[in-house]
Amino acid sequence: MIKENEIIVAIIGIGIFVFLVINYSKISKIPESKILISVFFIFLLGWIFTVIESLVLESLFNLIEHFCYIIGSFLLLFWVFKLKQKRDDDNEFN
Amino acid sequence: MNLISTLEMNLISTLETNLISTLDLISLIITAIIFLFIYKQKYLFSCNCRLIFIFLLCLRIFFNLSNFLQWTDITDALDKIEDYILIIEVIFWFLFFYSFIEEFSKTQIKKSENKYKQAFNQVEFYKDLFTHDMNNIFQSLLSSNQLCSDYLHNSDKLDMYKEILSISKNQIERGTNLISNIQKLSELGKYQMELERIDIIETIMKVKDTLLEKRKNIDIKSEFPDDKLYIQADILLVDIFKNLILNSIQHNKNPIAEIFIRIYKIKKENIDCVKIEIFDNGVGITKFQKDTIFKRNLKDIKNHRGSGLGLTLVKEIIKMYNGEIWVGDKIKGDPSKGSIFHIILPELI
Repeated sequence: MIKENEIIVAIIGIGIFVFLVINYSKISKIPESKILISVFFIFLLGWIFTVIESLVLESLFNLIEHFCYIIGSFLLLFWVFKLKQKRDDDNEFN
Repeated sequence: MNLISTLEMNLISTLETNLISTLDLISLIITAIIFLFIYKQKYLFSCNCRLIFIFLLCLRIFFNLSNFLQWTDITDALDKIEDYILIIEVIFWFLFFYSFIEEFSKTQIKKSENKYKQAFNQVEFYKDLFTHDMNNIFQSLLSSNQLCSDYLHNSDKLDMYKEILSISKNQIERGTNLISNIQKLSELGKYQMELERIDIIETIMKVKDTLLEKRKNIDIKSEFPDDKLYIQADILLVDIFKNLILNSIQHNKNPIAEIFIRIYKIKKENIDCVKIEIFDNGVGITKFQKDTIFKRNLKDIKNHRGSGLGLTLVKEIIKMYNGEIWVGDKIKGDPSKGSIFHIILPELI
């Protein structure tokens, strides 16, 4: 059964992704922005798969959804690490 | 058969449940690590971004925890609020990106403001410089012209013509130098000059020969090492020595301006450098002037100190070459006996 909340999350998520694409020139100024956008995109895939799992192949899409969350979390950790490294380099340079 | 099939199905279901709960647990641990890391790192983001990101991580931790507990059947209550948490999390993702954009826009506005402020100050500086220095030059030329008119019908004073013409020539030279220096100084910050390998001794010799050819009232002696000394510089290197020597001539009351240039190698903080010392027998530089001589600004112009931009230009060019310049007394403690300009530039081996 499709939950309303899951559809709302997926729609808002897609909306934010469109917002990121439109404002890419500004978003790209965020340090290591490509990793951060990838994190959001992977989480978005997870939210979309949550909706799909209610329609077809429940077990498979549920598994993929949780894989998306773990990959997203790893990438987020990597982004934070890169951010710290960049800040340290900048401080050393200054 | 049915029993075996049911057992197989149960086994697959249990394996799937275990796999997903393990994935959720790992996600939970990673998010918790990120949370602790961000909580400790206070200067990684601006205040707003950090606050939103911390809240976002809290929601993600709660979501992962809820997912994990859902598989262990500890509670059903969490499952009901999980979806609402997810909606809030998505909204916080939007706020996170938006706060970054806002911060970026603020930084851009601040940068533009500073740029325009700097440009405005520079224009004001050049305007005041022109008003003051060019006015002085035109006043001198006007006085010279007036004297010429007065002496025109007085045959006894004809000898004075030579002196008046010399004053006029000096003032015109001063004006030309001022315009040239303003042009160079305004262009210094605009472009990234390409530095090349230049023999400093050859450059100084060229400046020395040019000045000796043009002026009769100077005596320039020099002491150089036999080897060539290379530094990283560009065509503006000539302006350093031209301005310093002209400065020594201008501020000299002796009939002959005696200038001595010494160049030798030194080591500064384990870096091979070239040191240039320019001695003169000019009027000297007081302690107060030593601190301000290379930084001509609006206040100096209004206080009618300094003439031209020569030393400011020298300082800026040397800064561009990663060198340094300072001024001292020829005889320590007695500025009236003349000055020494010390310059250190990194040597290019």
